[in-house]
Amino acid sequence: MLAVAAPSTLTPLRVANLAKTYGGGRGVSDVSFSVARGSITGFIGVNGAGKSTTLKAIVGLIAPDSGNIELFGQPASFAARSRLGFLPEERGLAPRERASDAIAFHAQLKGMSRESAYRRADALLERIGLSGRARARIGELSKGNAQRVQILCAIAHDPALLILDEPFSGLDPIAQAEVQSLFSEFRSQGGAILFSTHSMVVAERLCDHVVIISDGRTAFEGAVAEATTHAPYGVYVTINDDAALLEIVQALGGEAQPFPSKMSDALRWRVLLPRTVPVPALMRALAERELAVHGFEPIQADLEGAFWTLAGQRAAA
Amino acid sequence: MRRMWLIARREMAAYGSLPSFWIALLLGPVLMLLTGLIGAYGASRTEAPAAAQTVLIRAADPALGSAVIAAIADANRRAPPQLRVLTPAQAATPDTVLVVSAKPGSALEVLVQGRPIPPMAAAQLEKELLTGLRRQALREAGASQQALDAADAVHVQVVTAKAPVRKMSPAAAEQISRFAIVMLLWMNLVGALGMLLQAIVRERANRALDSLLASARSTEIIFGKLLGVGILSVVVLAAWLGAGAAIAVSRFGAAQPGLEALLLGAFTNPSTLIQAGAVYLVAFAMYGSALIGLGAVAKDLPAAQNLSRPIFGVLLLVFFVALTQMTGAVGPMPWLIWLPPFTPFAILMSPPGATPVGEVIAALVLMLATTVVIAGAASMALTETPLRWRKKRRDASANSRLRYP
Repeated sequence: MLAVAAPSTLTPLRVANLAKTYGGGRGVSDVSFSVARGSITGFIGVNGAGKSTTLKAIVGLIAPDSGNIELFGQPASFAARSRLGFLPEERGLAPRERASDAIAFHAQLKGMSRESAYRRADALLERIGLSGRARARIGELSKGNAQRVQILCAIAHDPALLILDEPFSGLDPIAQAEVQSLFSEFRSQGGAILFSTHSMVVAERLCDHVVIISDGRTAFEGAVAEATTHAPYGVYVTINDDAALLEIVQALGGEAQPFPSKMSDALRWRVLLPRTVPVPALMRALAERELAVHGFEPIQADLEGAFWTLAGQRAAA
Repeated sequence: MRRMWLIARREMAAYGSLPSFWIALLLGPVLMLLTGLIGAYGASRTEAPAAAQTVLIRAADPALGSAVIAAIADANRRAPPQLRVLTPAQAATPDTVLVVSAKPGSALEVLVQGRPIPPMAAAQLEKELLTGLRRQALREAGASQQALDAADAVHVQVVTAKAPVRKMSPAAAEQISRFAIVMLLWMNLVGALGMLLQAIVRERANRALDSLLASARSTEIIFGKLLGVGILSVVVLAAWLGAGAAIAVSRFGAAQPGLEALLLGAFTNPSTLIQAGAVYLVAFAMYGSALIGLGAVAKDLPAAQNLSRPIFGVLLLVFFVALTQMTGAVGPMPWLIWLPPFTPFAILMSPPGATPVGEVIAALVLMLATTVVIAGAASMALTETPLRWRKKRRDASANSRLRYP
C-alpha cells in the first residue's frame, strides 16, 4: 500500500553544525546528526530544546544562520525537498476542505497528476479505514481522524524521507497503533523517518536510532540500545535512616539524591552506583547495618533514564 | 506555476463554499436594483401629484381673478376636484400660484408657479375661462355683434413657469460618477484584503502554512493566494459593475431624475469600467502582497489586526482624498499619482485626458515595481529569513531550565 519513491543508497538526511538563533535567544547552536535509509529516528528533547527549529530548517521553513543540511547527498534545495514529506507540530487543515481533496492537494503540490493524486488519496484513506469519510469535510471529522488525514497529506506523494513533528500527540491508543503500523510499513520499504516526540516509550518501541538534543546542541546520536547504556545505574531506596544510607553509598563510591516522595517518615532516595558495584552489594551493606528498608527498586535501563543522563550532561556542560 | 494555480484554486474552493461569499456577491446587484427602483418610484411620484392641489390666484384685475376662480369651480364640477382655490388669508403655503395677467392683443395669460397643475386641469381651466370670459363680454356688451366679436378675440393661455433648476456642470457630474466607481473599487478592495489577511493569518496560526511551505515556494504561495482571492474579488466586482451597467442602461436607469442618475451614469462607459478593472487588479496585487507579509510576521489574528492598521489607515486616507477631490474642497493634486498607495485612486479620479497616458503607464509601472519589492519582503517574512545586515546573536543558553532530577 505504501510506496517509497526512488530508493537510493544515499543518506536521506545529514545535518551538520546547524545554528539558528531567534530574537529572544532561543534556537539551536550546534546540531549534527544523520538519518539512514530504511530507519526510524526519534528526535528527542525537552520543550524549547530546538527540535522544531531543526525540523523547520530541514524542510526549508526557516533559513539557518549557519551549518549544512544535505538531503539524499545534495545540499537541501527546493528540488531535493520534493522527496520529503512533512507533518508540522500543530495540525491545520481547512475545516471546510474535504478529506480526499486535502490529501490530493498536497500530493499534487509535490508533482503528482490530479488523477493519480485522487487515486492515492482514496487508497490511503482505505488503508486507515476512512474510505467512507473521503468526502467528509475536515471540520466534520473527529480530532484523531483529522490528524490521521494530515499524516496522509504528508505521505501522499510517496516521499523517501518523512519529517514529522510530534505525530502522535492527540491520537488515541488505537490511532497511535495504526500510525505506528503505517510508519513500520514505510520503513520496511526503504523509507526513512525522523520524528520528534516527548514520549520515550514510543521512541523506544518504534525507533532504530535516537537523536537527543539539549540546550540547542546534539547530546547523543546513535542506536536506541546504545542510548540505554547511558541510563543511570542504581536503585531507588526508601529508608528511615538517611544518614546511614548516605554513609554506605559514599563508601561504595556512589551518590544519593532525595526524591520528593515520602512513605510516612521514610524518604525515597535515588542511589547511583558505579557500574563496577553490583546492586546486591548495596543490599548487603544495608542488611549488615540492620536498617529498616521500606523500598528497594533497581533503576530501569531505559531510554527515559538515558535521556536524563545525556541531556543533563549536556546542560551541565 | 502549477503549484501557484493549485493554491489559487484551493483558496477559491475555500471561499466559494462559504454562504457569506455568495451573499457578498449578490449584495451589489441587489443594491443596484434597489437604487434603480427607488429612483423610478421617485420619478413616478413627481408625475402623479396628489388630487387636492391648492392654488392661490393673483390677478391685477379683480374681475380676471374672479373669472379664473369661476373657471376652476366649473372645471372641478366637470371632473373630480383637482384644484382647491385658497383665499389670501389661507394661502401661507399654496402648492401653486396662478398669476393672471392681460397681455397685449387681447390675450390672457395664466402663469403657473410652483407645482405644475395636471395637464387635464390646465386644459379644463383654459376652456372654462374662455367660456366664462365670452359670456361676461357678451353680457357687458348687450349681446351685440361687436361684443361677440370681442369675446371671440379673447385668447386664454395657461403657461407653466419653469422651476428654477440648479444646473450641475458636466464636469461635476463626471466627478461624482468617477467617485462612485472609486468607492465601489474601494469597498471591494477592502473586503478582498480582509479575506486575504484572514487566509494567511489563519494558516500561519494553525501551522497549515508550514505544510504549504514544505511543498511550495513562498512566492508561489503569495501569488497563489493573491490569484485565488483576486479572482473571487474580481468575480464580485464584475457582478457589481455588471449589475450597475445593466441597471444604468435599463428603463430604470433612464428614468433616474437625480443623484441615482449620476451614480448609475458611471457604469454606462465601457472604457471607464475596463480601466477601473485593470487598475483594481494592480491595486489588489500591491496591497495584497503587503497584507500577506504582515500576516506572515504577525503569527496570530490579534497581532495581524494591529499590524494591518497602517494599511487600512492608508486606505481610509485614500478615501478622504478621493472625497475632497470630488467635492472640490481642495485643488487637484496630480502628484498623488506618483505615490503608489494613491496611484490607482488618483488615476480613476482624474478626468479623462487630464493625465497624459505616458504618465499613467509610468505610474502603474512604479506601482508594479513596488508590488514586486513588497512581495519579496513578504516572501522573506513567510520563511522567517533574517535580513542580512541584522546582527546575529550568539547562543544565549537556550535551555537553562533543564536540570537533572
